[in-house]
Amino acid sequence: MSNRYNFFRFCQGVVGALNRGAWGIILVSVVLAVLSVYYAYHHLGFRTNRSDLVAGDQSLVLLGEKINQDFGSRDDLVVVVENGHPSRTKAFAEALAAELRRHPEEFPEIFYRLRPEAFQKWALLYLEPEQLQELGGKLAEHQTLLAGLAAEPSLSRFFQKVNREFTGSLLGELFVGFLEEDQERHKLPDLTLLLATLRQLKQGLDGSREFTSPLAGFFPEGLADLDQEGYFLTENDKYLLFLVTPRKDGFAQAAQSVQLLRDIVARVKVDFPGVQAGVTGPMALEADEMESAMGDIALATWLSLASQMLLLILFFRSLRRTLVQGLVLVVGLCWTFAMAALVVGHLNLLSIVFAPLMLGITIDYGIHWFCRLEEEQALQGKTNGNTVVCTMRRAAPAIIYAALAAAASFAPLTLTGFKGLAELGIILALGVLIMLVATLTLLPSLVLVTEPFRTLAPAPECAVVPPSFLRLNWRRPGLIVAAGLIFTALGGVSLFFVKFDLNPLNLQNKKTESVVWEMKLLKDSRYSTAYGALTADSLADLKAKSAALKKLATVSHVESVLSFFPERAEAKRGQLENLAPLVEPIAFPPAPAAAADPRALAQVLGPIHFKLARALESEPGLVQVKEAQGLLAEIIPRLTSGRPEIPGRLADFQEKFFKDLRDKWNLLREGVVAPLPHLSDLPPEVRDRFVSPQGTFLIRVFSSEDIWDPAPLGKFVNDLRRVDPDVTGDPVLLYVFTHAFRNACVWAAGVGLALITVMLWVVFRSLKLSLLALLPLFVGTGWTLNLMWLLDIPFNQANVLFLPLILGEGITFGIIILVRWQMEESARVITLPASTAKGVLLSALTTTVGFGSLMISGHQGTFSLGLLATVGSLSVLLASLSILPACLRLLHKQAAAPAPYVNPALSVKRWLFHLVGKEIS
Amino acid sequence: MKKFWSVVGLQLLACWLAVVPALAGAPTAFVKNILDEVMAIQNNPALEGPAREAERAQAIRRIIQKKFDFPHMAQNTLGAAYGKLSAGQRQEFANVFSALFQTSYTNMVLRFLKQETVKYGKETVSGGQARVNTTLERVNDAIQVDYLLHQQGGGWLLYDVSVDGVSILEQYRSGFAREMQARSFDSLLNKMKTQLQAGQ
Repeated sequence: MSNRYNFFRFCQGVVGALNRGAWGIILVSVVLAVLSVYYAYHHLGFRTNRSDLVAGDQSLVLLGEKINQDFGSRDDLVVVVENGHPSRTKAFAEALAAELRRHPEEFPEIFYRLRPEAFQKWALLYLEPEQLQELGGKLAEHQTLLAGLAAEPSLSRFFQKVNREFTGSLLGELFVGFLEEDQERHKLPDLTLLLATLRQLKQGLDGSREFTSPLAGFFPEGLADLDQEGYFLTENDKYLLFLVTPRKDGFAQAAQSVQLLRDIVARVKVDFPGVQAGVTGPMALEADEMESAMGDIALATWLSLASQMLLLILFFRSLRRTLVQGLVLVVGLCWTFAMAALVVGHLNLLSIVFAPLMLGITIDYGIHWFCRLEEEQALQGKTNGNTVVCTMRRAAPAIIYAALAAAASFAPLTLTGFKGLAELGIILALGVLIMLVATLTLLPSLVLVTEPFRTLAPAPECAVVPPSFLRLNWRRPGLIVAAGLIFTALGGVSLFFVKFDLNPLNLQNKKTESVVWEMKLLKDSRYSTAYGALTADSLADLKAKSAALKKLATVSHVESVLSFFPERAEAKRGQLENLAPLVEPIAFPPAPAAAADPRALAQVLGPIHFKLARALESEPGLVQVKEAQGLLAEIIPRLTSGRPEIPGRLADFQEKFFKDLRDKWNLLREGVVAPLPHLSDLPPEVRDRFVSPQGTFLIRVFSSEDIWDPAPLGKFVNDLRRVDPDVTGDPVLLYVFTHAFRNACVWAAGVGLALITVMLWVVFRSLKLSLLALLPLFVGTGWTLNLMWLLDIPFNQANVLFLPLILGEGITFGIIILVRWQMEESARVITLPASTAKGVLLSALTTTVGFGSLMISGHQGTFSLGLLATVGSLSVLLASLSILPACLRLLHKQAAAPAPYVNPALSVKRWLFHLVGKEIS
Repeated sequence: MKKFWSVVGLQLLACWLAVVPALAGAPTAFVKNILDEVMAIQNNPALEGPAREAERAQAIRRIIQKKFDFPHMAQNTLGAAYGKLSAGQRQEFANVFSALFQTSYTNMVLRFLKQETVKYGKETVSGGQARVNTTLERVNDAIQVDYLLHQQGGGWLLYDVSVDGVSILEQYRSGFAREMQARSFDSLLNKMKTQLQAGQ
């Protein structure tokens, strides 16, 4: 008795059993599916952390966890505020802080400012040596004025002194100005102090209670107005950064925290029209990516389902079969979820895509089964139950081989050492096998109970004359093969032009808020929310590493406790000692000398106005002079107006003015004798972030270039590793794991291909046929590469995940066509039977519309995935229906091919004998 | 003999008493004369406008040339350093200083003295030196300008002007001292010459 007959009898038995127990199988399948959903709902977790994608014992992950443990995992969200008008920006930050403090549970920690009071004593040490030198010069120059003012603190005295200095500068410029070097020459004295004071005086005379220190021009920046100090500004002062630590409890909580923070920012912005602010930071980028991808995928899924259903109805010309196919997929998917919960226990950021990926591949099995059934029914009659037996007999082997090949292509992922990929590999490999079981049991059962088969009586043979695909005669197969192979070879060239884009920001939707603000930060201030992290065991080690890091061209700045200490403090201490004799003898009394007399003050201001007016007559374009003259023209009449409220307002202003001067002067007096600050002097929010309980120190290193771009990222990470091989942090993880991910994918694809080749050789017992089965894959891949080059589609971390879909499809098509060609003489005669071609066409089109719908997504990763799936599946389809049949046509002229092992399920023993080359008696 | 000395003393006293009023009036008149001349030039309709500024400057310069004691001022601006210069250096310095001052002062007058009203205030004369206080007024504004003079060759010559209490001579003194301290007298003289050439 031949193998073929045995297999036919076996299929007949299976179909008979399915027919008898169809309802039972359906019931068991559905109950199992419900139980699976229940089990998966309660046991399948969802891990969104990127570190969950790599093995937990990786040294980098352990280092990162240790740093988080020692220094706390903080500042995951960053509110970036455009610093258009500094005082308004800072007022916005204060308002935002007040609002966030009302949500202590959601935002346990905010960090946006170091209170200047904590550093006040050392304020002078934070100035640059040049600023201290300049301050010394000013103190010496204005010594008489200051001493005079301290002796008689009144506005009249102040303006008299200012007038005298102003006149001196004016005459000095006129008579000895030529002695100054060009860069030091000023046509007119600097009027900043005068202008600022006049502005405040006018405001005070008008009854305003507001007061902004006018002494900014006199005191160096940083001392002028302590109320405006201590905020975190980017290097170029373009952005103010507001760090927020949210409650951390999974993806859903992260998304909620990001949304709540955005709502609060929006509310605060209402009171600050024109202020631009947005939320970014690692958590916001992650949440936005997930949100954007999920939102788009939800819409794309519905679109995909609808278009696939429509396609199936159109091709099957049957709603019933479409629904049967859909039910089989849903049940199989439910089983797979339960299996994933049982075997893995959770989904990660990569394995979350298993469902569309698996469905995209396994829907093909049902399609091929139905197409074959259609063919058998067309030849034997619709109600002939023998058609189901023939379908099982002739379609099942190819489907089984295709499923095994797909499982084999995913299996290597489990060995990559990349936890995320390994879990995806396990779920996909087992999922494909589960779907295979569903296709070969539930699908025929459903068909048997939903379609009217009058008899299942055995027939001696299945029908033998299938119609050919489009009735093509394949007259010039050599030409088609040659042309196809040339285009395939071009794919090898294209491979050099298709890059692997490792930049994760390029995957994101460019319009999401976190990406927009991250890009702004990168572009305008060379600042990124991601930084390299390393530790130092001692203060000396910290200093050495910080110094080494600062020398690197790839480093923009370094943050550690040292950043909060003044630089070159010892040297500045010497400078301060020189300032002491200028500062210490002068002390301002607690209150002004006497109430200011408005008329007396007007007389003092008159000469200043006179000189400014004359200067303006000579040169009307002098902006400062014009403003000062305008202010005086308004102030003097107010002072001489005799209005009763003026003396009171003037007295009030005088008091504020001298209090401000006294405070600043006291700051100087305290500063010139203050000892150097120590670690214990730093505020707790700084120590908590940068000093561990064990006494180690954290160093945050920021790149000077775009760390999302792989080339500068590589340079940055390698530079950091030269300073400390144990460096970690987001840039390092990004660099290491994106490369590891790419390499793992390439390795898994290579090993998978080798496994499939071996499997095909076992199946076909012919290297030639095995290679032919791989032809749609190779040719389709070559054409896909050509199209990727032409359409400028790079490989990236998102679309590379769906390469197995294209690979699986290419192999499935090859196996389906080859197995039939080898099994059936009738198929060899016509080269490509219509039902096989229809199955291939429908499979490819379902992939195209199914994944092409992802192109509606604004998420660039999802979009590129859709585009690649579309381009890839159409290329594979074209290769399967043109080059492969043409090759088969050429081959048919040669000797008849050996028969494949079409009855693998019958006997393992038989398989083993075949493998060792022995015949079974 | 005693009577003789008494007579001489009385005569001298009489002379002194006779001379003092004349001397007391002279500084103010001297200054007034200068300012009137300058104001006449500045307010001369024939010389109005930027196009005639060079002519006005020339006319003002001619007045200044005769009214200031440049050698005295030059010596004063250098202080003790003047004594260390050779006769040639002194002469050269005085010449350059004189020309420079005339240019600068002319510029100041052109810039600040236009339609002002000059009010003459207190005049102080002591030991051959005098100070004439004036106020330049325009609408509601006023500025204090004091003229310092001394007797030279039987007449009065200006040697300093103080604006709002700031002396021009003092500006020179501190400026020149800084330059000589930082660099040298030669550097100062070179800069003055360069400035002079630039002004011409």
